[in-house]
Amino acid sequence: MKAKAREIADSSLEWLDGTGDHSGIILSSRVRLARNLKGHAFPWRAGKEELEISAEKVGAVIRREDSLRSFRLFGIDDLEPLAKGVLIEKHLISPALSKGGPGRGAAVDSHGIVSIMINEEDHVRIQAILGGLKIHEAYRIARQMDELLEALDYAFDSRCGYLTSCPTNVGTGLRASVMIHLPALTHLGRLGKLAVGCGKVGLTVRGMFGEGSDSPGALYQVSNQVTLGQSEDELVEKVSGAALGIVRQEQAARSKIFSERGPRLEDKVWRAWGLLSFSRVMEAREALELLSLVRMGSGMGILPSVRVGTMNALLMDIQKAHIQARSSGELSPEELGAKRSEILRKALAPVEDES
Amino acid sequence: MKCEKCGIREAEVHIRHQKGKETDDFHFCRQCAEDMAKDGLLPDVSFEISLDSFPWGLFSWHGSAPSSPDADASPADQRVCSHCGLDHSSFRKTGKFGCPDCFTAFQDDLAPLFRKIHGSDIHRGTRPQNACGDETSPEDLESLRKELREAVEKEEYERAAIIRDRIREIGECYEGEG
Repeated sequence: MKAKAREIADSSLEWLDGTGDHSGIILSSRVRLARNLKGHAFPWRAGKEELEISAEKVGAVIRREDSLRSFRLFGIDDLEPLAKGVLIEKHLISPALSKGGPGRGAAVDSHGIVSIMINEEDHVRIQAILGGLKIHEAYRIARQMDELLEALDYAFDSRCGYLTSCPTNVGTGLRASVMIHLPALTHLGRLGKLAVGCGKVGLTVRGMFGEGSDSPGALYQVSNQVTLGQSEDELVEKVSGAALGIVRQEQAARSKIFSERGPRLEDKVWRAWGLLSFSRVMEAREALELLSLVRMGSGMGILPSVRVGTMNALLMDIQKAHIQARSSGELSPEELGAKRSEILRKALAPVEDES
Repeated sequence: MKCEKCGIREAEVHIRHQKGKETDDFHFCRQCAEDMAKDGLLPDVSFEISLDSFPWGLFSWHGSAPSSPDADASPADQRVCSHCGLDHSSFRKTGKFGCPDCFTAFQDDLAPLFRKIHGSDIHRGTRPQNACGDETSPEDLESLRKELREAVEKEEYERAAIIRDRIREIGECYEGEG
């Protein structure tokens, strides 16, 4: 059965609900585990036949496990292009995997918490995403999946740990990360310093959209750099603890800006809300930047409170593939911008829009 | 030194291509290197990590600077993975393992490589339930003990503690199996 783009766009993505701790600032917590099968060349080095065999082995375990019955298993080549785009925007598959080819696949659970990528850079990549600061819980979920998939006979070495295609993932194969919203720190020009500080303790800071400090919407990803030599619990705790520290810094930065330039900040935030509520055509980048201001303004009590869940959902709903998937026919850039505006107005406008 | 491609920006990426005894050196700026990687002309490496350290820098772990003409003057490394056929120079070039058996084929490179990337070369995390003991031979234990002595001699106490824990774990594992 072919998965339709619209159906995937409408399917649940639990973290969007915005219920976890500090979910105003920490949008999501993600843990991924890289695993490979003993006796098989890694995907980049494997031929068609071998890729298909390893995919079949992984698929068989997923189909066999009762507890994984809610998972939807699909081959990338069986997806329509728009469906791939939606899955990428939801971070359930990577752009690299979306290129498809023999044996490339994924399995996604019905809540949108767990996704298992098959034959991406490694044979198996297990990922769990939850809302707010919940890295420990995300790790527990990923580890549960890992234990079920252990039946695959993983490539493991007592000294090097889990063997991976890239030496940067060897050992635990674990990457723990948070998606974090840092508009005040960005505004004060503190991101560079933060990145350097994180680097010193083995963490990486990266823009979610684009690179470095020029990340539209002030959304960043903080993750562990090393995967070998520390236990999973240590790595998870390190990212979690750092994320909490960064939340405190962001809160302090917001207070500082408010105390120094209160009226100016209020004006900026209200204008952002005004633009989102009344515009008729909007580019994605502008929307991300304005949503960032509204998110901060709402969190600081400048604006009437907007549900975190509403703002999270908008981050998905205003992206290109999501808009396309819910429209009939190909949209021109102009139509796309108009549609985006309409989505934003419906969600945020203070009064029922009459148009 | 200017980039060989654009001739404008400063070269930051230095590549040595080795074929038999002949070597060719290339020097590119970051942007041209990224463009070429996108076009598949250079190995597809992650540019998220500082270019100074990865992957070109990774492969100078024997201590000689990459620009030193003698660095690769020794006869070409003949090691080849018996399972996937990846040869040592391709491993160095791509910075990627071809299959799990490559870890055995290029074993001598692993400790310095992993220490450079991770600051450690010993796994301390979870292990699959079926992995206990079956891949750790008594020789491994012996080499771990040797490393422990060396680490203590060099006053690398943090590393020594990790190795000691590992030896204990393996010991328990064997006892557990009887």
